[in-house]
Amino acid sequence: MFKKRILLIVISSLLALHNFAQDVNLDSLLDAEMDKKTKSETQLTEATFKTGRLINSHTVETAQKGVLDFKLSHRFSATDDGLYDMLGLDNAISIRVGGDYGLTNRLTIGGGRSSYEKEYDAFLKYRLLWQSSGKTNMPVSLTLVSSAMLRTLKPVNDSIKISTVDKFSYAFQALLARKFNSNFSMQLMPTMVINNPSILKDNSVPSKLLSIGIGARLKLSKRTGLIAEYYYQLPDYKLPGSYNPLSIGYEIETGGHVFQFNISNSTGITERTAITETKNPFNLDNLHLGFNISRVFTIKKPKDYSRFNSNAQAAPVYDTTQVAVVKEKNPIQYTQATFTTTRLINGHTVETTQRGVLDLKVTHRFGKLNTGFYNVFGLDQASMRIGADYGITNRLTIGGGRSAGGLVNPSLKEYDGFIKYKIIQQSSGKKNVPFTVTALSSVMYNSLRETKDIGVKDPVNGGYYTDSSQTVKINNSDRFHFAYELLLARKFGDAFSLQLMPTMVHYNIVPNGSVPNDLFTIGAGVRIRLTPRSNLNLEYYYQLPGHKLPGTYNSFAVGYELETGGHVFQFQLTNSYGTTERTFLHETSGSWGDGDIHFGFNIARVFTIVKPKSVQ
Amino acid sequence: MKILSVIILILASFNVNAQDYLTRNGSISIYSHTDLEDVKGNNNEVVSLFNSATGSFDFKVAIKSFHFVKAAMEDHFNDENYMETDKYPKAGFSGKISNMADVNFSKDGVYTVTVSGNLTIKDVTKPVTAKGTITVKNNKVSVQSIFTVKRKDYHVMGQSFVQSKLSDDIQITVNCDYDKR
Repeated sequence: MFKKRILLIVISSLLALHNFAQDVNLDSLLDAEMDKKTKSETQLTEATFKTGRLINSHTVETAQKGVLDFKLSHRFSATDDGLYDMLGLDNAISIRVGGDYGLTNRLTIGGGRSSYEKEYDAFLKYRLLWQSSGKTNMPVSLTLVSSAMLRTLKPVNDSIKISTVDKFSYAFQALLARKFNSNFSMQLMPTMVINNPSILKDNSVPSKLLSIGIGARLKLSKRTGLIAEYYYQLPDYKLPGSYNPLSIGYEIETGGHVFQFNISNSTGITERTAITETKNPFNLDNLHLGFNISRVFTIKKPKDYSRFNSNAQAAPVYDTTQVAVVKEKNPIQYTQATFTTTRLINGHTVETTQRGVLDLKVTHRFGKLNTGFYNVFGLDQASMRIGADYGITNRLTIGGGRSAGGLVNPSLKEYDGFIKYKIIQQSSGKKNVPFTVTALSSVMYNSLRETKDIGVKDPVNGGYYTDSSQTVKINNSDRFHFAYELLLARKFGDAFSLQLMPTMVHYNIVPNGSVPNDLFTIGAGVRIRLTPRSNLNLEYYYQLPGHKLPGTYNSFAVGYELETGGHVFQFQLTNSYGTTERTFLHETSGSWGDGDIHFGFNIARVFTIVKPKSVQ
Repeated sequence: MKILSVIILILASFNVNAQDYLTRNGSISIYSHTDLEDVKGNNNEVVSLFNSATGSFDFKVAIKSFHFVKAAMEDHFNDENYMETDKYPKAGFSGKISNMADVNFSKDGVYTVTVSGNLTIKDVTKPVTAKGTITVKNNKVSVQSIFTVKRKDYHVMGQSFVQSKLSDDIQITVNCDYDKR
């Protein structure tokens, strides 16, 4: 009996022991650790809004310390000429180029230049309160914004003198926001805009303009959201004839990029123009399409691994020798990234888009630099192409786009489509191929309305070349141009890539009888690596003798490109206003010697359309 | 007499537990190398337990505690194209050291061990065998191991356009200093 009892005790103790060992549940231990950490630290609420702007308004968000947030905004003309002007997209009546820079995580300075009324702006923004949970609980964020605007548009009548002081306006905003949950954020924006009184025609017009704005963001998916903002102007503190602005937008965010598409009844982008000087009510006739692109660049790197936990035992050690152990002897190594993206500057590179990837391309060529400072060396005028490349396979790419010359060349209205195939891929190892060969075939369609002003600009007489026999009627087939290009490239190492591109462009009708319908050029391009993330690109196309339209020049371009993750930013100087084969190869009207140089940029942004297949 | 035996048994049970080693702040690093880009992340909040008697060896990590120098990299790491941290907040390993007899915990030294077990990431469990070292110094025990896993085995696919910048083989470095439990 006694023995039995002992046995029972032993068994139960053993069971207890077993249970005790089981007690060390790593899951709950981890949960406890994470919980402890959460409670002992203050969690600042991140991403109340995705970027420093809602649509036209500031948000409570400030730029991270050492980060430059490059902002590019477009507002297009009201959507009254239908599809011919692509719902206004051909005329960017308001372009703001600017940047926000984070001096600290709470203090941001910034500025920009808007083409609308040729306005400069600068601002200072401070995040006074930051919504948080954990150790410190703060229900809202409060950011103060103070900005100054200077408009430089000359009065229509030269006799009107406006002193510089009177060209200034100021705005003060207190932004109060709360992120209610991960799906919904809201912001209140009491605003005061101050104009200097002497530019006001009438003394009864108040110089202090007061309004209350409300803005919100509703998350639609992980990366997208619906955004809206509305300002109510106090009746006694508004300009006569102004309307309350309403803007609605859709935003896509990935990594360091925010793309916002919007419609609005306001034309301007700054506080003065967007909040207090909206001239039309929000209805179908007065809507402006627009988009904002925001792209962050790290200017000052964080000093240490401050993002890493402070209780680090030791800095992580990485053994590179153990990685990517190549089992096969002398395998084929395909050369990657001969060029950074599928365009060098104006022309194509041998690169194709990866399978299942859509590469959105936005290019701008601004007016000629020699138009002077008043037009910010051409920045007020923009010729643009919006298009995309899509990788059907890793070697086969199709793409297309729409070009509009804007004020740079009003006669440019063109659609293009192309197909591109990588025939040979440079490789080393078992299979040694010294270069990459890609073939390109493209078609361009001129959609300019029937007018005699079609063709190439005449540098002697002004205006454009015309075919006198058919000044009005343009046959549909004559609107087509075709280009065939062979691209041969070699990557000589990380530092240097070279490409040759013999090209033929076919004109169904040539504007001048002295040249054949098939025009040949030979181009050369190089990429020189400056840092692991930036390159210098050069591109030159030589039109063969007898294959040159009168009054045109060979296209030459110098570019600088920055690459990060899925984005490529290219800045360039070129004498070409267009970015399709017809326009830049054979209709480059500018001469480098005369200073006919266009500043421009290309933005390439890739999106995954078809996900890579999972193995197993 | 009864009470005595119970006490002895309880003491004995503590004695068994003294063979458990625990850490709450171990380190696990991940590393991907390609010609175009290196990706390095580190997690210093690893909880791990091993038993010097049985050789059993367990890890748990919170995925959101992996930190990267670039904030954007960290965002991507946690998003739906990679680790889907909201859906799969934890990863873990459970295994056994096969040559536990070679390690003398009462004598300072560096012992080479082989551990085999199951690695679970994103609810996918695959067998993994890795070589590592156990270092015993002044009664302190630490474990180091470097091994490689194929990310696609665990459905870490990534965006189509990063495939050339992200290695299929991800190197995992384990570095833990344990305390006796």
